[in-house]
Amino acid sequence: MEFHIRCEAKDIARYVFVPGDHERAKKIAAHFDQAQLVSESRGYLVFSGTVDGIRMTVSSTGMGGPSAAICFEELGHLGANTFIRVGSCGTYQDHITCGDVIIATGTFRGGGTAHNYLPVPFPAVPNFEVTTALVKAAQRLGIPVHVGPGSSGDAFYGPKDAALQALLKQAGLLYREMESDTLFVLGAVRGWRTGALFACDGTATEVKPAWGEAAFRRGEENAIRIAIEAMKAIALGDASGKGSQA
Amino acid sequence: MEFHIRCEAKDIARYVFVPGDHERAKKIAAHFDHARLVSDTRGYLVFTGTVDGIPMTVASTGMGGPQAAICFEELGHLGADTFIRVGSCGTLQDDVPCGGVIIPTGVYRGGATGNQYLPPAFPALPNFQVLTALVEAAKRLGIKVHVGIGWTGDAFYVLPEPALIAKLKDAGVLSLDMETDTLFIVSSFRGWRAGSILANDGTSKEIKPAWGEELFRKGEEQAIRIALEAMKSIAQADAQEGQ
Repeated sequence: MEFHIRCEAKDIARYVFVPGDHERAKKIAAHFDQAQLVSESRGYLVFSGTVDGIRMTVSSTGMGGPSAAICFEELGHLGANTFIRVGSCGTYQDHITCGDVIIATGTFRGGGTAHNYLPVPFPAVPNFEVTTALVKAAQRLGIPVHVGPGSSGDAFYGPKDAALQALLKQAGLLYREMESDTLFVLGAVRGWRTGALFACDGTATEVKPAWGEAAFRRGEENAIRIAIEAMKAIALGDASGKGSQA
Repeated sequence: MEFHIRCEAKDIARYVFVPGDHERAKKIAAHFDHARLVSDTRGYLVFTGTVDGIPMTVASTGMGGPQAAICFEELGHLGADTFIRVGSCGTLQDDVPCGGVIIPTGVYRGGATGNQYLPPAFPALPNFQVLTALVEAAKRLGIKVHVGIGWTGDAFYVLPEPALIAKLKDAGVLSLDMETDTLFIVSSFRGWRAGSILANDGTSKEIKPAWGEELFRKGEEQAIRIALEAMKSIAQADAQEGQ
């Protein structure tokens, strides 16, 4: 029995979705067959079920690196080794708006938790196989996506250094969120496959505007569909022993 | 006329290979049609030609971030916007042999030149289109490649401390080289597309062993073939999109 997520190995699949929001965990579990509530503890809401006969788990991580890292580690203890974060994010770029879906290729390490694992110059990058599976899943579903780097940070309401923000915008960062740096660095340390995609809930100039809520919710559902389609492809590749269709 | 590479815009293609070694620049130019020597200055050896009718350039960068960054910047001034580094590397992993070909998905920023552009927390990443083009080109050519995280540093004869090396090995770091971090960071800063492909000339225990030389040279030629095939596919995609 893990200390915080209060689960055992029989409860957890190898293939895991890790949204921050527990409400999004419920939305992902709604796509499972035979979804079972496994645990509800300290804000971690965990469901397991199947998709096309493949066992999958979803666990909410809460917000920020520390709570997310505990969740990833305990899921790993129980046999999870393939993680897709399905998150929400803001954006740096003027051409991205509420409801757009962004697939991560690497994250600026503005968060602190991963520093306990590997020093800052180590790149926070997803596994290429998972990222490729996400991009191809989006193509199959006909959902347009943005693919590129972004940033993670620890303080949603913290002061922003205007000069740094301008630099990061110029350097092409797409998304800003709070957990993917931790997921990617832990994935490297623990030998897991990781990937992330986000639905954008803001614009380059507005944080979570009310007018964008309906568009964001459509983007969130698109991100969930892409993540499930990609995880299925990865699992089928594992079963065939050839790697995913990446 | 650029200060250091001594070229003009008419000499340089949009699509550029950037090996460290000027001898490798010659090997890449040998795959061009109508290759002509554009410049030979300060160790920068620059050739331009065509591949299947597509204008391409190769420029050797020399070793290390500072002179590589000058090379990238001056090529960028002249219109280059798509860069593939074709380099040599060492490895931390026991299962990567001499002559193994590595495609980095991101590199540890052990070098300092990139810090003048973007802070160390910024990830040194290839452009996803170029990364994918390299992996798919290798697949088409039937050449096995290792795809994953690398490390870049400034001091060939001083490796990171053993405790950090052990952590990096454990975290799956494949390659050790000296220019990929600078290429990726300068490219993010300038809005270029960049990728890197490296032929391994050592093992996890030996630096450039003499017995591995021939294997390395085979890997080098495979890396060159993959890079050329990838660049062609990128140029063809650009042409289709009318860019």
